Amino acid sequence: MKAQIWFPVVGVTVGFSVVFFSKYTLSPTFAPYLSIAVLAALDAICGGIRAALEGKFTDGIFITGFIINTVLAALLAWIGDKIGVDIVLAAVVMLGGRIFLNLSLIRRLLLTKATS
Amino acid sequence: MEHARSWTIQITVLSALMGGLVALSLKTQDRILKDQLPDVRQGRLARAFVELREDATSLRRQVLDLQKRLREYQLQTGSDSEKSKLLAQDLMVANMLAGTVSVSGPGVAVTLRDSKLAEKKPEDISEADWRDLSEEYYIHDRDIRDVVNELRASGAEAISVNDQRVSGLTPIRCVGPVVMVNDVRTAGSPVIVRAIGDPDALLSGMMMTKGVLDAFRDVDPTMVSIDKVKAQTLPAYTGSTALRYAKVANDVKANEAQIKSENAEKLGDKAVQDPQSVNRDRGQK
Repeated sequence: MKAQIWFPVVGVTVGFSVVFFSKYTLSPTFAPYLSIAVLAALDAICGGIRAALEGKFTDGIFITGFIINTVLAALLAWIGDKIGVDIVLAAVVMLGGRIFLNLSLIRRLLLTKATS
Repeated sequence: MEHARSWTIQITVLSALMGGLVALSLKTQDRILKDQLPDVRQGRLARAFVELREDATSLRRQVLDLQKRLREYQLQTGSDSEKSKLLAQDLMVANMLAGTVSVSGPGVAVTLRDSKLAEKKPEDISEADWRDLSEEYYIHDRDIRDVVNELRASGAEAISVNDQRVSGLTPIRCVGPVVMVNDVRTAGSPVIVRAIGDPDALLSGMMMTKGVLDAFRDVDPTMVSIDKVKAQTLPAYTGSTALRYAKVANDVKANEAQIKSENAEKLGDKAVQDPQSVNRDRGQK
């Protein structure tokens, strides 16, 4: 179990270096959507780890959660862009809050496991 | 155990995806910074900005091409007859005065640099005070304009700022860290002002006591350097030359305006030298 905790870290490092050292860049137009996607991915990962630690991990929920959150956040960003209101902030606040909540739960679970 | 492996794989794959997204995001931001796009959030504006800037560059190149072609035509018509030769010569002089042809000749190059003293803030000064104090360590648009003005006063026949020709229509102004000359963004430091004219006269104009560069000598002498140049080439003005409002005035009115300005000067002199004489004149009437 302990070794598995490092898998996401390795994943992030690999993914980061693969894209960073490739020549591929995105049009600046997509920059705001990209940051939203990063946030949604981070939220899904935190949620997934927490569920796994609690032993409640379900295959479908994890992947669909990530995809639908990303799509919804991008949609909000797009609509907000059209009507001139930063609705995307709702997604940012929501996802950000969830990330912190999940992180604190992961911390608690790991600590209680370590002590018991 | 099967179950445990499943979540590890999924989370790892998604982590890799996220890492990739973060890297992409970083690179995009980097590009935005490099392109000096106005604001990340205004995506559409940013794209329009890039497109317009590219358009402007290609159009400017087109202007240069067309100007070159025009000059060839003018030279060709000039070779036809004596009359048209004279006309073409006149036209060339007018072009040189207007700055629409590139010119070469001797002169000076004045280099203005932000002072190195501006980089390190003394610790016993607050941020706001330092902002005021360090103001004089930077080259401002007014300094460049002063130099251009002084060069003209010293008999410069053609001037360029950062390889942008200064024409009769050229604005010089600072926008953040860059200097806009002819609405082209150029380096804010060093700023190189080139002038064609008598090198000694231009140099002495620049070195004049109480002159435009005197202030820099007190602050930091390394901010300014002036070099005499035996031969240099200044580029042509590539901005718009279309006139929408100005028309050629008729001679009578132009003469009237000239006489008026001369009279105004006389009156001004009198007023300065002897304020009472003006009143006296009026009293006699």
